[in-house]
Amino acid sequence: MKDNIDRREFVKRCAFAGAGIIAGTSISKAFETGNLSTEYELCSVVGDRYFDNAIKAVEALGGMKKFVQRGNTVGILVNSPLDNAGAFVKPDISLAVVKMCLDAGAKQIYALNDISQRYWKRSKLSEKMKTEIERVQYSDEMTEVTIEKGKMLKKAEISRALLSCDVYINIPIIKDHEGTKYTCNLKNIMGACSSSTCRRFHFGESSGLSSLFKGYYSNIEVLAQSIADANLIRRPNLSVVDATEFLATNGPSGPGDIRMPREVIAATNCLAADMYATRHLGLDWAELLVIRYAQQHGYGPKTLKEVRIQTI
Amino acid sequence: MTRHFLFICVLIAVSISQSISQNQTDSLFSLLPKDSITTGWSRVDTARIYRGEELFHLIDGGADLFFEYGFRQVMAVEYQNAGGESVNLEIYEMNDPSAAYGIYSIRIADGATPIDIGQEGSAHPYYIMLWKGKYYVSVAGSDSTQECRKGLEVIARCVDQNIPGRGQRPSIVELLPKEGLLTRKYFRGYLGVSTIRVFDEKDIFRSAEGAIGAYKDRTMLVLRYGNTAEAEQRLVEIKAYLKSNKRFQHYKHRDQISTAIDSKHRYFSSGQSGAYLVVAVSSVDSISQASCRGATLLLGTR
Repeated sequence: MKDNIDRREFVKRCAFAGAGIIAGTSISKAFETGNLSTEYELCSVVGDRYFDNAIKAVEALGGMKKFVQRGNTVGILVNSPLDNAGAFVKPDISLAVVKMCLDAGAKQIYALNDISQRYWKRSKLSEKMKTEIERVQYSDEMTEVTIEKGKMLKKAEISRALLSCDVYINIPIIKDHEGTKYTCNLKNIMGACSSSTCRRFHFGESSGLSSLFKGYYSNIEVLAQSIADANLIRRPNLSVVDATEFLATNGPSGPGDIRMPREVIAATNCLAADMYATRHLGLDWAELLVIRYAQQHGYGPKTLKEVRIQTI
Repeated sequence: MTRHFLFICVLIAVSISQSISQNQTDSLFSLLPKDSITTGWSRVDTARIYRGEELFHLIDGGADLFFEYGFRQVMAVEYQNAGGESVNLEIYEMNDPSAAYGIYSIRIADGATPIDIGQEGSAHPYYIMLWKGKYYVSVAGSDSTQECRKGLEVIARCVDQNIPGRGQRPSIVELLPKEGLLTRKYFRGYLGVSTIRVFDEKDIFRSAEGAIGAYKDRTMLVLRYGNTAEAEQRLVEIKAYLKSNKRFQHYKHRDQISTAIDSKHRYFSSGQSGAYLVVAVSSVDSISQASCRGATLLLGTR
């Protein structure tokens, strides 16, 4: 990194370098804490009406207005790209989040990864909510950030909108993953990263020809640590997890066995939501490297006893 | 002169590579069902081909398992019926038949119904999987309605008929003890072996090739290394892992078999025979040890 930067570059970096090395303490703190409240809250709603239940879950946390102020820009990161059943967030849940944001007065909603029209059409509400869907804009602009506290991933190329939006909402699905055993909030960050950064998740900072011969996931610890590091870039202000119908085997793409707890989870801390949701896969969160590394970063609770959990 | 020669070489190389690539594409297109056969189901758009790392664009992180086995290319096609239901067909061309079998064996669900499609095929509520030759095929419906399931089968059977030739299963799966064997899987590295959720996130076997056998009272692994010295070295590492990992307790070593119990009360026994390692996991200590010893002795007689 060059030592001398001009004013324009400095302002730009202050605005976008969420990992904080350039931006200084104030921006760094705000990004790292997500919600400034240190209390972890989570609400789980079980039932067949996924759209309504997503709203109920957020309402139980105080409603979307607690997270989105009038005139805010909102970035949503939806796990939407895959086609097989149980591999993508039910569009009804994503639509509920979009609606709640607009109702709260959001000026603009940015998709932090590319959400296809095909995805929205899977919902019976897509025709009725055409106007809301049109308000979701995608920009493929990426920016490079330095992750000061990253142990494995020191730099990442990530969606510029992730750093520039006022409110960041993570919308993952809990499901099986062949590499990390599960995927939910923490791993979803890869959806906002460029493909070259995603490659570094597999191989660490070392790159070049040797990495081609190592094979994928040659070291799960590298992958897990990189995921934990990338989450330092910016913490979601809110997380809405789809635990309604998901892949319990052959994840993340499927097809595979489907489990149907019909649960929607909203949480103020995404690590807490991951710890809570992994029980659906029969996993003990304490044994999952991604969660352990995120805890070492001080990313969220050490146990679920620290989380105020409501079930509806 | 040299420059001209180099230029001509590059042109020839590009032309050969384009020709190979075209032939590969053609070979996959020839496996697609004819539109006249899939009555009631029509292709939504043109077939998409993904080669090498492009597989990430189709199945995201699911691509890694395919790379571990040896992946060449895949063709993805979506069909739809008048009722708006859809079926996704994916035909994966792997590097060799063992790779195709391996992917199939790892991805098959425990409760799947065998079906006479491909060299082996299985039907699940909303999808069908099969392997034949160097191809692994997945046909998945958007729903599990009868209409959708009929569509799955028609499409899967067409692809099966279009795949020429057959392939051999990897020989290592035949090394698993036959008595009481319920299911068997073939792996080529960490991702494959980790699907049985017995070991933690360390690649303790160092990406070996092997087979997993499920039995009523135990799970067994047979792993093959390059030579005896390598297998010996891996066994030393596994012993060290069993001794040092907090998950394990009560490590013991008797009659060439090392055993420890994990926090979920499962006994892990490991032994070696030539270039092979055997691991047996059971909730009963004596079963774990005896099956490991039995399999190790059996391998020694081969």
